[in-house]
Amino acid sequence: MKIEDRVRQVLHSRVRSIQQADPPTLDRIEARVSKHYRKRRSAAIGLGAVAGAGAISILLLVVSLPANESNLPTRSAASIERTVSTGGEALALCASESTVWVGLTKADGSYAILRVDAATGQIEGEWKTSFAPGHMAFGGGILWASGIGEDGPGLRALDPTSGDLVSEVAEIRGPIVFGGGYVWATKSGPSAETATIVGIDPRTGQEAMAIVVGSGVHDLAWADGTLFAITTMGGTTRVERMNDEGTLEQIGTNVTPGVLAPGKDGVWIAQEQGGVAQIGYTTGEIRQPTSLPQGTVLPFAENRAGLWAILGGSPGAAVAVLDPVSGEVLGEVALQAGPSRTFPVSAVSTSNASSIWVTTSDGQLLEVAGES
Amino acid sequence: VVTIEGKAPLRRKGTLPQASSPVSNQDALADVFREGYGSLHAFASLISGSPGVGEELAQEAFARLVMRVRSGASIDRPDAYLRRAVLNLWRNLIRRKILERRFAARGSADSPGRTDVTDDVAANVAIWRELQQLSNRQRSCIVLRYFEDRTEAETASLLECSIGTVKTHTRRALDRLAERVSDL
Repeated sequence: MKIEDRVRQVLHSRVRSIQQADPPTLDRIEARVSKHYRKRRSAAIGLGAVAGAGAISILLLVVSLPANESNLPTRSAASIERTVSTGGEALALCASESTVWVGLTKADGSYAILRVDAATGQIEGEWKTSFAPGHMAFGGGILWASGIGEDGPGLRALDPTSGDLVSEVAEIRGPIVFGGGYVWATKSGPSAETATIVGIDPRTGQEAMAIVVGSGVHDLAWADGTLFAITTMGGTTRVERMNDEGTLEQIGTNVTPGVLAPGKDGVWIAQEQGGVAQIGYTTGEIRQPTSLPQGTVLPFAENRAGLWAILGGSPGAAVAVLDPVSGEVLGEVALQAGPSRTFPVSAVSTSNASSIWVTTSDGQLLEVAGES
Repeated sequence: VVTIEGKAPLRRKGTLPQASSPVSNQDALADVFREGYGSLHAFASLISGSPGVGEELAQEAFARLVMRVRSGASIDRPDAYLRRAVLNLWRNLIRRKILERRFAARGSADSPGRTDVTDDVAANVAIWRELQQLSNRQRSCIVLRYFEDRTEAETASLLECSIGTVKTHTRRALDRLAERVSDL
């Protein structure tokens, strides 16, 4: 086959794979147009003021904008849709399309998991646990929770509706994620330098894969059909990706521990020196949005509304939705109390949603909605 | 952004939109959007190498078109206008260094295949990866010539360069891609 024909074939097959199942409506373009007009108006007002041309010239510039601008929809800021009082301090959070689970420590020192209906915000169940549910993930029809109990660290498989214990794997601690048909977790080794990431088959509870990673695993994510991890070895924190041979290969360094968010085109990381970067799935290209807000930005999810991040420290933190390309803030909600945890960020979303769930240090579970 | 006027009509094939009639009102805009968004998104994704960036470019190009029409302009060939807008926006992104290109060695064409694929599929994967490593100009030439089936003259018009430049970029890109395939 001629190279020209082969290139044609590749381009067309690639386009078939990227075509959107749900293309945007014209309203979305209108919102973008409206934003341009607002920018123009601000610039016009600024110019008028600087030039000292007076109120008349400013009025003329504003009036000269298209008359139909006022009919265009405007982008609303992100807003709190629901507030759920959890009755404890959140330790972990995970979500499916219809349910949110919150791992809690209660005022009396006991531990529990809350099951919350994502559509209504109603608490549907509260299950007491014998372990501190420090990390949770949902997948394979099972709610997975890891944490330290009376018997030491372990991973528990729970019925997601009733909270009944289905099975248990010992010596598991730290972050967990479900993907590729396995639940991925970290297993303690005989020494501090021999921790392993294990892939556990949910049907058997057996380890199907093990990868020695060194001293620490701060976060795990499943994206683009493979596993991503933030690990530390020899004092260096890095982001790694599992390759086809089942081993981890480094794709970036100087990463903030515990901040790893799968995005549409690549995995988002927070960098130690500040800033946010995305490592592309296909090329490994590192991209940095340049219009990020000042201060600490911790990305934790990308969904239909954009890239979600925690801004600033606690207190004074805010949840913001950013433009994934430019990093510009599209909407922002100040949190009365800070997020309950920032490493990893105590907020979750599913990729098809346009809202996120975040737990705060005053025991609230909030749903923050952006625009899809 | 300028409109392309006075040039020969662009040859269309496959998924290209048929919205070549002038756009001057809201109804016409809606038609252009409905018929043309999918192919513009595909075009922008191939140019930028990223579906997400492609979506951003395509939407922004449509927003520019809407603003032009609302300012009273009549756009004779909206498909050409939109493609030129995408190319300009992408060039501006590069110029302003919003997208910093730092290719990691990992994940390049030297990586082992993810699955047991046939040689043919493996070659196509390698070509796609190599396409993303091309210069922006070379990739634009390849996408316009072999995805949109534009002539050299049309490609030169959209890229605002000479036909000779298009020929050179295209040949060099094809040589590089062919070399990659022969390495497999």
